[in-house]
Amino acid sequence: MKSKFKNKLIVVSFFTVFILTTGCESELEPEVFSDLTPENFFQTEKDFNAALVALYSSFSIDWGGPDPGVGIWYTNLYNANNRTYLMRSGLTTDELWNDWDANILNFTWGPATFSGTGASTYSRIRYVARATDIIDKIEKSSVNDLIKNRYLAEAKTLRAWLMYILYDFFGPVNAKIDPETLSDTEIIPRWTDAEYTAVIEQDLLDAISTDELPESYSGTADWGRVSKGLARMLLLKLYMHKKDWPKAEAAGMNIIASGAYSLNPSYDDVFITSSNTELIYAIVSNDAVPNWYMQHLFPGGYAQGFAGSKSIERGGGWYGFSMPWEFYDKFEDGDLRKNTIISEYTNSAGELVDRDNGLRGAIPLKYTSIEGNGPDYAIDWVIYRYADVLLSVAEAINEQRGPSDAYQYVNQVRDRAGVSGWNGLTQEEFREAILDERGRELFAEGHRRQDLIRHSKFIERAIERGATSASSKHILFPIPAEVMLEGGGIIEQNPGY
Amino acid sequence: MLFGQSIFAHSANIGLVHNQRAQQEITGVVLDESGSPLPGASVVEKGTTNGTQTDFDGNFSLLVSNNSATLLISYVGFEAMEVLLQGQNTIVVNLKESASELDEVVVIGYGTSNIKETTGAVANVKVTDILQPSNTSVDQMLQGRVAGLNLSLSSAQPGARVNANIRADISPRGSGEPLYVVDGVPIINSSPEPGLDDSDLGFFGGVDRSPLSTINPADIESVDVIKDAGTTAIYGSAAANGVIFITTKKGKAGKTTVDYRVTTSIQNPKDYIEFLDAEDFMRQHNRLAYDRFLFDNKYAPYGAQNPPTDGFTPFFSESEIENAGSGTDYVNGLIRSGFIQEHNVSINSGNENTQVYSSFNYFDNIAIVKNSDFQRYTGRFNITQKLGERINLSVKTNFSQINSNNASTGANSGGSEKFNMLQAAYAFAPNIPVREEDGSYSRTYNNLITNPFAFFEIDDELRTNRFSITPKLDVELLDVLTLTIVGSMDRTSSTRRFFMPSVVENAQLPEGSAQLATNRNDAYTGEAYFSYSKSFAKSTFSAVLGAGVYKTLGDGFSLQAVGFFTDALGADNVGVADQLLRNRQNSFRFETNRLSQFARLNYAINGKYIFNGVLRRDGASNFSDNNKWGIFPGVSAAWRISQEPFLENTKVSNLKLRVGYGEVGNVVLADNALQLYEISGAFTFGNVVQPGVVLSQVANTDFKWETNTSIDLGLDFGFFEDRISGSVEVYEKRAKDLIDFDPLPSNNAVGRVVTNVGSTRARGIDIALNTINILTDSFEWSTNFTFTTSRAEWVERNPNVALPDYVGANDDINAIYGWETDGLIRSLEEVPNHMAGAFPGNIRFVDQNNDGLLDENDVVNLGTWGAGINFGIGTNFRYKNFTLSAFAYGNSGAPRGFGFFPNIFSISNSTPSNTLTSVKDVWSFDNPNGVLPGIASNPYSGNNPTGTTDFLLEETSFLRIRNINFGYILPITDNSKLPFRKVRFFVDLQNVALFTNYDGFDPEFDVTNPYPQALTSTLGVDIQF
Repeated sequence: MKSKFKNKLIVVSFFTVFILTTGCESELEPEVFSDLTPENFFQTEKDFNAALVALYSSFSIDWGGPDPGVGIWYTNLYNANNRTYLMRSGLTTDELWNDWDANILNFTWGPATFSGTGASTYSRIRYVARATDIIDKIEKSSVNDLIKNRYLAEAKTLRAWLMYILYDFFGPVNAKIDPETLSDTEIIPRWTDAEYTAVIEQDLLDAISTDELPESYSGTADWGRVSKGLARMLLLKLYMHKKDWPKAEAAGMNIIASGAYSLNPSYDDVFITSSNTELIYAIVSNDAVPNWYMQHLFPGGYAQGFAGSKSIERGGGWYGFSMPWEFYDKFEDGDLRKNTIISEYTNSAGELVDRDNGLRGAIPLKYTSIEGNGPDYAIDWVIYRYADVLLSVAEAINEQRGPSDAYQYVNQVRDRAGVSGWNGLTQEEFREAILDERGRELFAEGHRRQDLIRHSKFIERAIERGATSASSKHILFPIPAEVMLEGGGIIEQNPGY
Repeated sequence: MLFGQSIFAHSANIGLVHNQRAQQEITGVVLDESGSPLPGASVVEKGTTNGTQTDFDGNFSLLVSNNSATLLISYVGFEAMEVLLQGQNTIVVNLKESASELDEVVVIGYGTSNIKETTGAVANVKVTDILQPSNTSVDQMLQGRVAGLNLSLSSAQPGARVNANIRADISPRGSGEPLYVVDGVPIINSSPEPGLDDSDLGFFGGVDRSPLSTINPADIESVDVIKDAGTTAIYGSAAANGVIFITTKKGKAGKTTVDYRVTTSIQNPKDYIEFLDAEDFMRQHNRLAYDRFLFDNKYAPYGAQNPPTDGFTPFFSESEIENAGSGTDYVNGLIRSGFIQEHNVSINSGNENTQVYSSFNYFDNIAIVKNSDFQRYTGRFNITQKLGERINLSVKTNFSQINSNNASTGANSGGSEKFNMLQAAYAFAPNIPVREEDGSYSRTYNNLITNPFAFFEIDDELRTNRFSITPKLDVELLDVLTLTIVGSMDRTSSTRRFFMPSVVENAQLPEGSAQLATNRNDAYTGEAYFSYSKSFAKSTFSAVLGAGVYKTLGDGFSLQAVGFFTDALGADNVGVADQLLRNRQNSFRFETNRLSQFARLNYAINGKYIFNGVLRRDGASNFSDNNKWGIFPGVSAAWRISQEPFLENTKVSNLKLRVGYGEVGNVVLADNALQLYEISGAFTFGNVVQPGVVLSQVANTDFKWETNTSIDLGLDFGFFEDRISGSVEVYEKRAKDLIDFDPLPSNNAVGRVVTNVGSTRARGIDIALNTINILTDSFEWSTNFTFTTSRAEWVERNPNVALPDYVGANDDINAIYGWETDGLIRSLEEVPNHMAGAFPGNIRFVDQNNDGLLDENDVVNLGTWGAGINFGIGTNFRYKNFTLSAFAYGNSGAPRGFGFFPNIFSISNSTPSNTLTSVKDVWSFDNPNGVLPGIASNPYSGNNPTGTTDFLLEETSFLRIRNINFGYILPITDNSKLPFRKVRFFVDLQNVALFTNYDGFDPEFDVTNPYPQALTSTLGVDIQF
């Protein structure tokens, strides 16, 4: 009896062990709870929107974050970090000065400067591939045409914009635009200039011809989305960059003709009133994603200063960016645009500080509606606006056939600034004048580097400022060291590096 | 000569009276030296499996084959004894307490072994020998105790994690942490304590908590460290870095005893890193700001032109400086004397059928940094119950609660404007008083830095509850076969409540913010295994075969609420927070399942030649589709040379040669090999922030674990009856199929894919030596010593990752690469040709190849991070009723930087921040002998591909006297008529002294803002009733 029980027990226990061993193989299927997988993503219209938002995120005014596909922390393109696409487009020029990054200030940068976390701008090449993927997925999807075409136009404009930014800093790169090659691991060489810019041009033309893409989102809840106006503006920028003056003129005239944009009557209000009709694109800022530009401007002991007649009171900031006095002096007396710049201030000890006793440069505040100590403010960051269109059209006309037709455009901008209109200039005089005019109108908006390069003044001005290492190679930034290493000779470095 | 009968926990050589052909009944009693009965002692007829156990009063009776048989009598912790019967029918045996550790039982996974018979590299630590008051977890006491077990405290904060590593970490990307097995059950080696959402705050706050801090060290009987893969392979895919077994106490049959221990400790902070006082701060600011003015304008010495006489106005006037005095010492304002109070009660009771160990512990540490207090309650109830002749049940339960504050120390993520408490104290200008005239907290010149004392207003409470229950059922199916069923539920939940009121005046969150978070970790285990053991005339065979199922899961949620119109509600009603755009909520969940089968065979011939084989098969949900199952074998063998006739009657009491080989796995958790879309990158349209989704990971269905193999050779020795004993072990371990990333082209959406490629190797030596120097009735003196050294290097690298020229294919894993330096450039004339454009005060880099350029061709190997040698030395004295023990550990040959450099940038700018006193050593034209680099930015630093130089890098060594304990045992005899059985008073000192050639703060904490250290002095008493 006892041994029977024992045998049973042995059988039962072996059975138990057997169950434990084999009974729950299905338990071994992996389950993902907090991320999405191919099984549950890219299905609905909202999924595509979320994928588009990720493309937009490169343009967020938020500082940045680790690239999810690499894990390296990168800054976004347009915020006040001194290493962004936006700020480097100003800090390498005569309009802004900053000494936090000696290699940039002194034109001693090299491939290492743009490597690792310094590859923030170059790393956007991955978002070109992501955009290509999304364009492909939207095209193949079954969402309704209204949404489909609009999303396609948005994705193409964003891809073109990212590609243009890369082109501006690095020249044509080997961005992936064919969805079939997205997961290839083969290293491909850089595109030729013509191939590369043709892709940008075609994407923008596709977007412009999309009926479902609105001309402008001014004053709507979708403010911040890519509009047809932005696609047209990017096309204008591309043509200006390539000095294709007839196409540039036509692209600019299309924006003027669209009627969607106009000059704001007051210069300082351009940077105060959110989504006013002069703005073609601005990055939305609010308490969740505040604007830190202003904090970078103020000297430590700052207490009060005046932007025109407007009293600007706040505590000190980081004193990172200053407008050199040489640049400030390009403004003539009475130029209303100077009313957005602070040239002297009272410090916390009650003493006046100006250019003669320690103020390193003017404070290019631009956004004069700030209230309180900050440090950050919920103020949209202006990227593209109608005044730039007028100045670009004027420049394109002057380059083709001299200034006579161009005055009507440039003088709209000068009138608003409260300074007298131009006339009677030679083509060469107009060319030099418009470069300065663009500086006065668009300072600290991220256009100066392109403008100086287009006018072949970028290196010359740097040497004048004391960056004696500057040479023609610095017109483009170098391809990051790790990309060269990976390229194994297939990817060419920019000349001189 | 010690006797070597094996004691297998589940072996069947006990209690087997009924079916023996008996001829003679022997009765007897087994007592200890003082005459107290030893219940449960083993009595076996030599050369047979015939045996029994003593009862509650130490009595036994056994039928033996004839009256000239020999009985083997053994009891854990006592020297075993052979008794030749010579016709006696009744015997009285007095066992001597074991003086040698060699009699100890060690846990080897699914069973135990006598340490003399183990074939693997196993070290056993009796926690009573190392128990130190004022430590929160047992791992903090193990530093230097086991050769090859290298520990480093992540922070001196109470309850902080100890990073453990057994023999060289050879996994560059995988974990180097061992597996912890508590009472037979693997635990999750992380604490679920929620951190702070740092996106607005900019700092994390809190501490990486040891998961062992929830276990009362006084409840732990022993810690067994298994180092070789030949033995750990029975834990398969989890065992790559060795296994640490923690066994809690269980009740013993016998008279009920109550132990009460109370200790009070005072913690005196050691000297912390020094910061400038007010006067020096103002002077150093003026000096460096002027130097910066010269540099910015390229005046001499940075340029040819002399500075104008009136170009620079010092920020601080001479009279302000003279009146400043020393100002406020913000750093030391955060540090105070700490106190620890601990009460520990344990009750031990039992009879033949039921044995209970239960305890309660209260530990309260008012920490030396304000707002980092630690309070813990633990309760334990371990019961062993006999459910019949052949069935035993044991249930171990543990409950603990940790309540802690969480001072924000350590690194931060938000730059200077989001400093944590300690960083803020570093930076805050010492000439500014704590309060404004209106009573509010003052601000420093950089007005974004929160006043360090304002951090005291923050309410940050963390409560962690852990409950675990581990029932275990042993069923003796046959005399030689036992079935063991183990279950376990281990649940930890942790809740954080954080409230920063508006009085803090945080620049980012001026209207206050709250965070609430709860995380949970659960682990469920079910295991069943058979243990078979049979002794033959000249050999013993034993085997284990079993299976297990494991589930771990975790989840959590957190929220941030911003903007409180009142501070009155704290975090208790976050619904009132009105800055909705800055409010945030998050949640997560994960789950992993694992199935396993395992087996062990052990065969011993004549007690001399022992063979051991283990095998495990693991399948897990976090293994990829094409590698669902892994098999991990281990073999080992030992030759007990001392059992050979030629060593009988010599001074050699123990000599054993062992050799082993095994393969184990190193698994990365998470779903690294799946294609994933991550919620990443938000953007704002209108006024609405929308989430983005990005392809973040591409699939690799072949991805699997790293495989570690190791070959071990060990020699255990004992001389003069083990008065001198120890071991020497050499090993080589290799990792192959390393977890790595294959880079994808820079123009692809995803930049990398996980893969298994490459191989590393470590070779090392572990030495342990224990000596009993003096052993008399009134005076005992023993010492122990551990020594370990290893070198880990690359064998094969990922061929898809291009190596820079300066990296050698087989370099050390932790090799340091960088530029050599040659002091400072002290004038424009001294600027070398290869550094044209450099400035005085710049570090002079060495142009290795003299090509006039500084680039990656000038990078050289500067050494290897980590210590070459680790060691520990302990010594114990007893003179009559006095005891004295001391323990020290250290390491040697570790390259360390200077610690950290003064921030000359922030002290010299227009909103100056305070910095280290070493700023006085910063070179400037008026401090020409300064040794630290000056204000001028070095135009060549950006060309250094590694960013590392050997500037002030030196090899350091240290010896830390960790612990000195002095005790006195009250002489109590049976007729003292005191209600106590034993009373021991003791004084204990922790972190007594540090000897080092290191110039920085502390060689064990070379992070930038470490938690301060303390000397802890404890007065305590142990009372046994």
